[in-house]
Amino acid sequence: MKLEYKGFILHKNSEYFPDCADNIAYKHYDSNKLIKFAIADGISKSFLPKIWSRNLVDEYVLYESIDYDFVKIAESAQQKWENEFKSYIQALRASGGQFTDTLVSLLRFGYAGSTLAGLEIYKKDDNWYWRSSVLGDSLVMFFPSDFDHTRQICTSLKKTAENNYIFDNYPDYFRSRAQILDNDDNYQTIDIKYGDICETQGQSLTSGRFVLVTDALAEFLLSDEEILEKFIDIKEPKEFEEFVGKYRDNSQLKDDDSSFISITISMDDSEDTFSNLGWYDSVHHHEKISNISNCKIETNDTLPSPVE
Amino acid sequence: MSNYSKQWSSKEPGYLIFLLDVSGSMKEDYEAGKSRLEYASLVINNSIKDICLANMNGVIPKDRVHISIITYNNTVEVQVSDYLSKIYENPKNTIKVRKKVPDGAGGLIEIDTEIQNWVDANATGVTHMAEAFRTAKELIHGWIREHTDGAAPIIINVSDGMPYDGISEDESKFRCIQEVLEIKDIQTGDGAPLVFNAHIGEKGSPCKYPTSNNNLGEQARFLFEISSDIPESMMKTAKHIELEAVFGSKGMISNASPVELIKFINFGSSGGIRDIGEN
Repeated sequence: MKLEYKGFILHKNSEYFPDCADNIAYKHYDSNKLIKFAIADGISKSFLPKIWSRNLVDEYVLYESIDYDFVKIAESAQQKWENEFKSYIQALRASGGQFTDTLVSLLRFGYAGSTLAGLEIYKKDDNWYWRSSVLGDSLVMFFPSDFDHTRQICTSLKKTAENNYIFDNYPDYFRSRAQILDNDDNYQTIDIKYGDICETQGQSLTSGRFVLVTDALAEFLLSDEEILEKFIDIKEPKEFEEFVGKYRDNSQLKDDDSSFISITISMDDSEDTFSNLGWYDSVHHHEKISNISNCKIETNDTLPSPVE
Repeated sequence: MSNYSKQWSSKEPGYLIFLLDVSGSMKEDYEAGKSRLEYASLVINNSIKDICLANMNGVIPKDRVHISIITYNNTVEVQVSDYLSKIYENPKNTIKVRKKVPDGAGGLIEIDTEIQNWVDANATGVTHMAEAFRTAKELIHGWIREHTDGAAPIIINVSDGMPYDGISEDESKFRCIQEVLEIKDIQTGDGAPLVFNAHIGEKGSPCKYPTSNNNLGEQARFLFEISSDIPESMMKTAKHIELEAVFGSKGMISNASPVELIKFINFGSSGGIRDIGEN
């Protein structure tokens, strides 16, 4: 099996990269029997969404077992977010600054929201399989290279009566907090997920292409598969930027954070090989990221200091 | 392009203008022991707080919107006009209260909190609404000179009566309509500025988001004339918050109840902002 992958992130044109709440991650395990990919789209107007979407993709790819519980992975990411949130509160208190009512509301009720789409490709008993899990309007798509297999799409998007996906401003998402305060100062537990998870399990791997995308690109690519072919051929971040820019300019593509992971599979090779063709984001502008340790993209997106 | 599709963003901030009637009649009782002015101020304050919350980045909100608050009675006063982070940092006044917050270790701690107020006015005098719209028009002209690619500005006017300059009601109405027409003639890449109107009080039948001026009373007919159509791009939000608006509805309510006022202002001020549940 030959596997080639690449990933890009481009922030929306009308904002700056620090505002981008999309995150992508991968991890290729040393055993050569497991490789995982994840993409997440933080809800930009929620509380610290970029940290939440980063935690989600990291937790997904860092969970080594092929048998996972998608919600438990999100719970683990939630624990991490909550720990950062707790440090944030403690630093705020230590700074001795005045708490505005707005800030107090965030501390009491605020949370981040994010979609999460994950794909794992794994070997079991000498056979390759794949599994995908999605919550929200991010997508995992599989396009087989022959006609014996059918295209598959994993998403929790709802459909119209005409069988078209509904892209709107109200996607399903994971919440970053397990508990918030009510008006009587009691902790209330809230569900970690809003909406329904889509899972595709135990699929035999065949030759073809996987594509993981966030909503704006997903809507666009589903509307025109010829465009999808062109996207898959993109090799350099500058090309990606120009391509996305072109379709944003002619209004075919919404001006939204746009993330894209492409994985090409060929089952013709008897030897298992894995190639990173490029993993890019806007921070490392036009520069290939090498030596990715632990799948993380360095974005400096730590919690802002409360004493700044 | 004129489809009101642009979102407020850091690079291309939106522009939101509140016009608030502070004439003498706004002293009248309205809801929960508050006068019309007190209640309308509270709703505008909460709306600004919600915008801050939706854009909070650590301890300061991102500057995705510039907000002006203009009050009018015998005179017109620009109470506040700045980017969101500056608005957030510079309220007109604050009220200290004690509130509980998570202590970071699973418990609660009580702390001093400042409730921020951005509207500080007394109700007195007549209703120079036309002058208020003229001031808004001048601010918008200044804004779009600097921000050619942003979202269309949004004006939300809250009043309990008709324009009246103390001399002639007909003349005041006429001048007000002229000013609003000139605002609606301003062109931005996203569309003309949107003018939404909320008339509060209970002096006639309630009227919400009409699509025609047939069978409307005098007050509602006037508001119909000076209000913009709700753009299609805002209809999804309208539907989501169960606003009784349909395609072709005007952005106006007349003789609005307190609940309707809150809903309307939240809707109008969310033109380019999406809260959690939206991405």
